[in-house]
Amino acid sequence: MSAYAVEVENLTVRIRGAEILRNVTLRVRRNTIFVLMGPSGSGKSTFLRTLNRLIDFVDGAEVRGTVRVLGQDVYSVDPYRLRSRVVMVSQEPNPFPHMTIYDNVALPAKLNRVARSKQELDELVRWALERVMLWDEVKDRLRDYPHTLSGGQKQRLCLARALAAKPEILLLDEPTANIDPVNTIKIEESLRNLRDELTIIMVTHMPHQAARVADYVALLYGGTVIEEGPAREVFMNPRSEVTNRFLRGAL
Amino acid sequence: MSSGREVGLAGLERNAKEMHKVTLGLLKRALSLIVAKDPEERERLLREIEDEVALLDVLKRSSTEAILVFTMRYQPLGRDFKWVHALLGVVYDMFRIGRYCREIAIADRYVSRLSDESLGDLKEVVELAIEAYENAYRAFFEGCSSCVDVVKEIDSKVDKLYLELLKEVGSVKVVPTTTVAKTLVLRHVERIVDHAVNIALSDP
Amino acid sequence: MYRSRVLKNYLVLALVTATSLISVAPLASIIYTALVEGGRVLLELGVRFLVELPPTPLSPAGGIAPALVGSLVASTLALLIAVPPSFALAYFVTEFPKHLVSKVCEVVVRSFMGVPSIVISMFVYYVLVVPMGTQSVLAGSVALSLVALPYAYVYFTSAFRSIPSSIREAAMALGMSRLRALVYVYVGLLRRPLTTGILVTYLKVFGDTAPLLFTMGFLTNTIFVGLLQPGNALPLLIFVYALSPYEAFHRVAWGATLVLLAIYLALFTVARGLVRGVKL
Repeated sequence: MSAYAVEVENLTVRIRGAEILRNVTLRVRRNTIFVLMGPSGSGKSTFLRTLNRLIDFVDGAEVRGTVRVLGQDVYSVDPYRLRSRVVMVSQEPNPFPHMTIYDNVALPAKLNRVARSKQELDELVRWALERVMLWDEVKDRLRDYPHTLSGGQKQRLCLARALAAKPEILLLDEPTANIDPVNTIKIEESLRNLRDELTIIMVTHMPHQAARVADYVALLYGGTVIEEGPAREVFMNPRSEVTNRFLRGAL
Repeated sequence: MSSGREVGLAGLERNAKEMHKVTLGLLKRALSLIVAKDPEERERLLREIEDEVALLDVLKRSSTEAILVFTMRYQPLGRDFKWVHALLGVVYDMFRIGRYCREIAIADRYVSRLSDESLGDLKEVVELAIEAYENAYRAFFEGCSSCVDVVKEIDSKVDKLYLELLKEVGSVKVVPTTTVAKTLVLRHVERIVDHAVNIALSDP
Repeated sequence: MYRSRVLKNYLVLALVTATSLISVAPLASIIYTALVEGGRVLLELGVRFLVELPPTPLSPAGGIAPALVGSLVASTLALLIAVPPSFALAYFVTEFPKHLVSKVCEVVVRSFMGVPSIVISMFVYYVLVVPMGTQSVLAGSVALSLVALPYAYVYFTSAFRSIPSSIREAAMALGMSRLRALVYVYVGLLRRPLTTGILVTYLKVFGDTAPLLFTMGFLTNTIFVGLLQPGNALPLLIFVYALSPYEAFHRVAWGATLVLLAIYLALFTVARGLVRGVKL
């Protein structure tokens, strides 16, 4: 079994002729929090979508290079199966509005056959909601609908839903970009606590969030990787001037 | 157009330079104390040293607060973070150097007049301290790497002088007050140069 | 200054109210007339009107049983024939918009809506009635389904296109296949628009006359004889009886009109009440 959850080599992505990612080579170790940071428009979301092949749904997308996730080339496996092991949480909270809070969390678990009995499912739902620190807030209203939750709670619900699928890798696309500070802190803390159970790959444009959360970071700017390494090193001793400018907020 | 962060950093640097001026002034007055013979001038110098040290105390407090507020507000990362963190230490070192100058003045006032003929070689020692401090300042604020070596050299020199004096004092049963004053001053200078080394090595 | 604005406000309000009333007036008038004329008949005969055979010139009392049964059977059958393929096609077109099949379907099915329903009736007559040798409920249903298909398709495609892309992405990002996403997410999300679509299509075919003109036949001597035999339908009955010279037939036509209206209103109310909207 490879020590790396994700291995990307010379990844180049073009969308309708425009080059979004150029020769990106990165490796993500298992059971770590890897944060890809960079200013808006640097190609971070595109990178994420290449890992779970959501890029397939983008019009005019061309992908060149090797992307290996959990030891397998992503283009040699069933994409739907891949996406159930590599689950993504979007920037915009998007719980299924027609399903109850309980059903939202239970659905992926049921579809992936993670829980076999009603009791197991109840326990899994509780576990997932506890991991995102939402259990105490919703335990008395699991039959309510998501529209009764605040934005931050909705995003935590989406995170719980992703966790209930028991993925091996969790992809997060700017998960707290539209969330208030209190919920942001809760989400960041949940992520730190989840490190032992899965690999987390997060994308953010906020260097401070990366500093708070990451084990390893990489800076993506203009579609190329400028610098990468253990978070401590990159934040205390950035090698590149571009990195320093990004950390100063000047990019 | 400078951002608030750049303005903040420039402000911190200005504060530190302000402190530097005062500290350097104190060192020069300490030197004058060794050279000046006129009692009125000596009295004036002692008073000035007291005043300047009080000012230094205020500057240290305000500089430290400014650094902490800047950190809280801008949460610097990368090289800025290291520089600001180092600056906290540099401000403290400058403050301590100033305090040691005061200690030298106290030794002059209560133990023995430092302008005494037998204490002539103290002039050289204090000049070394000033040289070390100026080089340390340039090493940190101007990035002069040769200055770091100069400071280190002075440090070993002063350490040696101090150690020799201690051995000398330890070898006799009775010590005259001038020797006591000399020992005290040399001790303070050794500490001053140590702090100068700290400043020089603080450059991230 | 202020008073002139208040006056202007009232004036415009009055104007808007008046124009609204004018646009609602014809509908109100229809309902009123149907209530009055049809109500007379229904009050006279009661439930018998719904279960008895139509009158003959010699026996004036009668009901609309064959037409009612025929309409219900034909419309339901038409829906069963039209909805599954239009549903599947609508989903395919929304999921694979760039596919050649999708592009062809969009053009063909939408332009089909413009085909006059009498032409459809002629077509089914030629293709089904002539070979079978008789008009039939089946032929009528097929004609109605051909009318229903593009309508249902349009409703379904607009429903599927209204799925927020964030929900779509959420379903895909959790590893659901398109089919699973449809079954577990989209259908639940779209229950109101889908049901409304089905219902509106049902009501469209329930009240459509032209497709049945050459296909359904006009059964009056018994209530129902089978799918492969002629039948009757409410709109057809209203059409034929309204044009007849007999007073008795006119009265039955009015009664049938009221029944038709009542069915429309009832179905709409039930649907809106049953299907709760989804709060996004």
